[in-house]
Amino acid sequence: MANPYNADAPKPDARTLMRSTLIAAAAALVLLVTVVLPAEYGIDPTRIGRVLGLTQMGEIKVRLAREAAADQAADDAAAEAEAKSDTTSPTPPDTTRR
Amino acid sequence: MRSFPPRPLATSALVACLMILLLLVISDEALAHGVTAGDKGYLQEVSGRLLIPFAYLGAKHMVTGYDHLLFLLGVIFFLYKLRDVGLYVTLFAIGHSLTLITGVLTGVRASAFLIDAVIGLSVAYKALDNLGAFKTWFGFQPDARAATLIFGFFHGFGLATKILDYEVSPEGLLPNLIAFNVGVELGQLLALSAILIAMSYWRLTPSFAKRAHSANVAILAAGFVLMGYQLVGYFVYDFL
Repeated sequence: MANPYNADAPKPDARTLMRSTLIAAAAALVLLVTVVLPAEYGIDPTRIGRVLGLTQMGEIKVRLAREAAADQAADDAAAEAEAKSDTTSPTPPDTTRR
Repeated sequence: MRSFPPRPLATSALVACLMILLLLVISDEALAHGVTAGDKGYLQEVSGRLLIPFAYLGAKHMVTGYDHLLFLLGVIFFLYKLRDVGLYVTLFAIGHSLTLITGVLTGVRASAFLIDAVIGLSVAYKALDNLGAFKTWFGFQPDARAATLIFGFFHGFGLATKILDYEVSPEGLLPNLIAFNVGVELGQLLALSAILIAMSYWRLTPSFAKRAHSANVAILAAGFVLMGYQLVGYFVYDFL
């Protein structure tokens, strides 16, 4: 195979290409701002996400992720403190921690 | 195959759309690269050589990752010969195997958001490539093989970061990683076969050339959405 890139495939002219690219970019931007960013991150500059009921989803997701990260940090700190105290006064192993 | 009655375009397009929708539904749980808690939990519990489970997880990652699938769709859009498809699969496999294994073994990690943004970029790049944009805009045609290899590196680096996040046991790590890689290949072949069959039917329709343009514009838009989604995520989830 000489050229893996299919040169025979139909290609748009420069004007069509630019128009198509702009359409794709505009469609992506509209989708991002009105649907994806509200639903994923609670970011809703147009207020459309709120109307669609998606902004709440994003807000809850981010809040839960924050809480999970905080829990993890607290767990890690507790485990570290426990490991330190273990060297002086052994305590029974904590079975509640995953 | 020849005995099939000729299908109207609408049917073919519908079949293609349904397949993509189905894949999206399947991957909903595992949002692109997302980790299902079940898999992560499992990987943290076990240790030692587990070739089949790791191969399964590698395959699952490919088959349920819509960003990988979009990239593959772009790559094989204008590849007609199975031999060409094989070459691309091999190049992509070499790329992601190298970075996956070295990434995990050296512990070098990157933000999953940034890697996923690059994967979104690879989707957009491939769509533009299919539209002949680089030739029209810059007057040259980048080597599609090099591009596939380079994006393979990024896809593998993303996988490595994901496995590091799993905190996989170091026991039997190398054979497990190789098994994971083999699984990625198998999953990729499965997904490619499905996409190739759908594409073959679609190409039989007389208006394929016309729809091919719109399809690549849609893939381009999807690539842009993925990039924006992941880049914003990088800033929102700065506490991770």
